[in-house]
Amino acid sequence: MNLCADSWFLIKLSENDTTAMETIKQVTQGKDRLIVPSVTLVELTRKMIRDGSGLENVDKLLGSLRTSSKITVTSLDEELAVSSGKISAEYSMPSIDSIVAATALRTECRVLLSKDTHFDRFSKSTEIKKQCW
Amino acid sequence: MYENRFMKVGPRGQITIPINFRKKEGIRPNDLIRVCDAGGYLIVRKATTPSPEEDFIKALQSMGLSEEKDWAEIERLRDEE
Repeated sequence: MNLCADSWFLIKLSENDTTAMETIKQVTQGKDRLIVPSVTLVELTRKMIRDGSGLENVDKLLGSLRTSSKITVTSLDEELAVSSGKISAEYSMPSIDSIVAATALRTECRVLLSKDTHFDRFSKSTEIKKQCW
Repeated sequence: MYENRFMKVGPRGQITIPINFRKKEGIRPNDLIRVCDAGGYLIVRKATTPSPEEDFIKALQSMGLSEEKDWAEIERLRDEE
C-alpha cells in the first residue's frame, strides 16, 4: 500500500511523534511505500532558509531519498501539473494542496497523511483516505 | 557540487574506490559496502551506516520542526493563495 506524506506528516516525524514513528516503521519493515510529493520539499526548504538553519539537513534528506527504496519523491511534471490544476479547480483547493492530491492519485495511494482541511472533500469523493491525529 | 572521479572497471567488474573517498567515508579493507541502483546512478555506501530510511527520519528530526509553529505557518501560507 502507498501512503502519501504531506508536510504535516513530515513535521510529525520531525517531532518524533509516536503515531508518525509507528507509521514509518510499517513502511520500513513492511511492504508499504511512502510517497513524498516534491512540493513538500519546497515548504521544508523555505522553512530552513527562513530560520537561518542552513540547508545541510535538506541535503541529508535528499541523500536519503535518493537511496531509499521505501520512500520516494514524486516530481512535478507536466502531466501532474495539469492533473493538479483540474483538482484545484474542482475542489477549490490551493495549488500546493492540489499537487499533493494529484501526487496521491497518480501513485495510487490509499492514505493521505495530512491535517489539511482542504483535502476533506477530495478525500470523500475518492478512495484516498485522509489520515491525521 | 559533487566530486567526480573516473575509474576503470576490471574484468570481473571490480573498481577501486579512490582513497580520498574511502578516507572520508571511513571505508577500510574487508568492510562491507552497499551498492544501490538509483536509476542511472550507482550509489556506494558503507553497509554499517544506518538505512536510508533512518537517515531520512534523522534529517527531519534535526530540522526541529513543530506542528504548533511550522504546520500553522504552512497552513496560513496555503490559505493565503
